[in-house]
Amino acid sequence: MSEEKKEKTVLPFNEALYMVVRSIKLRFGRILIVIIAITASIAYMVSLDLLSPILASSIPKEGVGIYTFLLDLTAFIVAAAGTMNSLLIMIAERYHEIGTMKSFGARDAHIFELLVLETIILTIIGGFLGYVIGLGIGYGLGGTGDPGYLFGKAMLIAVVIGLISSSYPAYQAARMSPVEALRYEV
Amino acid sequence: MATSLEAVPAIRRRLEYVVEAIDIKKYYKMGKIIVKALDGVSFNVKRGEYVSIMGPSGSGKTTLFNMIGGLDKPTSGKVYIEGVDIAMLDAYELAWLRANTIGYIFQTFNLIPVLTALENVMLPMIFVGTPYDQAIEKAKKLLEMVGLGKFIHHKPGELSGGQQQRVAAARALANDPAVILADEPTGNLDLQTGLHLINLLKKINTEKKVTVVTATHDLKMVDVSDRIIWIRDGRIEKIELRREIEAEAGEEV
Repeated sequence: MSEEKKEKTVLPFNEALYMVVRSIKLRFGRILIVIIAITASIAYMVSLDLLSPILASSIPKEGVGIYTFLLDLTAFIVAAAGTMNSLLIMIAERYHEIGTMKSFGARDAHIFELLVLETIILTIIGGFLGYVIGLGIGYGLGGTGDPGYLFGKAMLIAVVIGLISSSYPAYQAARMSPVEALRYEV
Repeated sequence: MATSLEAVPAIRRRLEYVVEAIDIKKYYKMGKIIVKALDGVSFNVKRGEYVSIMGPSGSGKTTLFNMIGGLDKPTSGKVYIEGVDIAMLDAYELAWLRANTIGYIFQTFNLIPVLTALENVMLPMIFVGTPYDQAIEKAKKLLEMVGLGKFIHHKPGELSGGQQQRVAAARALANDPAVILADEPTGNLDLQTGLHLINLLKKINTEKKVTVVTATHDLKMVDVSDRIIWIRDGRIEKIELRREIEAEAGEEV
């Protein structure tokens, strides 16, 4: 054993990306719930940010910062909780697939990579949709703000939500033994 | 039996046996009761052999299948695949072994639903770093061999059960494994398609010289197996050579 060269199974990034994009395309209906969770929260956040000058006029000046922070935090928590919940279901539905890949050489890291990559793409889609919708609502109600800054903020928060909410379910799925994953009944 | 096997030097074992199980035990705790799924099973599989593990459901044959495939760990006992004690392997080595040395076929086909037949067969090759073009060529050849040359771009959902299982057989062969492990491969197929698959497995066994081990309760498998290991209540009931079965049948006539 020791004299043998230690070899590793691999999953090239372009292959992983290909599989993830295929999965998103073909299962769009099922994963829409993940996108909706992100979209709604980001739209909420963006529109509130635009409206904050109006809201701020009715509350004491020193409270404005805290007030907007609390609103952002609510949006963030709601989005993270909603996304994690829908991701747990999405990933549980794929335990068989995960078990199969593992029995043909996928390592824990590969499964983790696939799942997190997929979530990041979903959150980018959701974040962008949420930004557009939030901008519409915010401006429609007469709010003002810097759209460029808000775009950056929306995308960043969407991706952070994706990373946070996918890491636990993806980690859990990745470290299952093939037999556990294959035996799992949803 | 266990001691006599261990007395054989590892290198000779490696040449002669593809799979070797020594006194495998698997106990599960169900509350206060200990369930003995496997209670001391020893056997070996020679290179090029076609071995069927038979027994009623609940006899422990799937558990045994999972042990010899390195998919699950026994409570005690040792499993050697190509002379390597799989309990000694780390996660990286185990993944490498699963990718290269073993080809699995499952009862429920387990193809990746979002990938085409061709991509499903390519997957194990991607995992071991086969260049893309080579993987495509080989996957095409394998699919032609199993009679699905016209269906390479179909997704599993667009194929019948029998076709899906043939894709699975092609996938199992992707990295030229030393052994194909098939768990109830005909369990979800009707009589005729089941028979086709058994003949395909036999063809793979004789033409490609791949060792085949199946866990099954499909009696059609008896005809093509070199040896049948009967399992009952977590123990080996008997091991029969096909020659003996044929002889018995001959006497009865």
